[in-house]
Amino acid sequence: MGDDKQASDVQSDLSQATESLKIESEQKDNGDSSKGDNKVKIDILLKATGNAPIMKKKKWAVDAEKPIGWIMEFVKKYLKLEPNEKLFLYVNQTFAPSPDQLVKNLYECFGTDGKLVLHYCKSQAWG
Amino acid sequence: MSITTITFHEFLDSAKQFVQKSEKIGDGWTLKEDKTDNLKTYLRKDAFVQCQDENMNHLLKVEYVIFYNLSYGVPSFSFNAWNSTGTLVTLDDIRKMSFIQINEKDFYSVITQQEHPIFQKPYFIMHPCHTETLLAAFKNKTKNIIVTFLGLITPLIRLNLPLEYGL
Repeated sequence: MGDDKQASDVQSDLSQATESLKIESEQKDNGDSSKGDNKVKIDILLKATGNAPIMKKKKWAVDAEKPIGWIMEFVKKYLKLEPNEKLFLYVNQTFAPSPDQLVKNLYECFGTDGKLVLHYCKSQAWG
Repeated sequence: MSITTITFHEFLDSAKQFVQKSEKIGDGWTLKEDKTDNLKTYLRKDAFVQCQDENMNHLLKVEYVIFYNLSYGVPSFSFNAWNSTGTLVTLDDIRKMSFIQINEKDFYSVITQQEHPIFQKPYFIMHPCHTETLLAAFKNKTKNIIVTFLGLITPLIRLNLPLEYGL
């Protein structure tokens, strides 16, 4: 009898525990949607090529859902480029993703050692 | 100073490699070799582009051509686009389709309609004068110079370049 009681106690404890876990995760979900600071971040490494100026801080954590165009604008601002100067970002020093491509996708394809390496170069003009 | 231009043979080798990759992923680029005049060899892709705009929402037929520019020693990009009635799309409509906000003056300094050096027909051609300096940064590091070159164009023109080219 005593053993049975103990067992049922343990069970109720467990079910309580899972319930509290559920509540916790629900709260977390709510936090995600309202605050939005628990987003997945991806480490990117920015390297200069050609005549582009180097960046003091090379490693950045970027929101996985951001498009490449957003990083381009960021680097432009960071390097204080003139509005008429163009900036290009390359992966593997070969391929330039289109500005609407998401960081997440690029990381899945080209990420190495837990980070995404992007080379950047600038130019006065196109053509 | 090292030479930063690209020789025709480098162009041709890259182009062949590029087409192989394209065939593997079904991207539709083809190499048209000219046996009598080798320099007239070019890469071509035909595609349909869906564009949505407040005043435009239709399917465009686009023809992309990459050829070798002998004077500048670089690959050059040219294209033509037609709407469903068969009319050639104007340069300003193409500017509005661009991924980036670019004003008319800047855009017209990059792309103009001119006689195509291979086809002797009007095409929109990107000016090759800055291509060399841009490609110089990647010339000895890139796996394929055509892919690198196309990367310079994709922000301006709606050209779909699948991620597989970078692998």
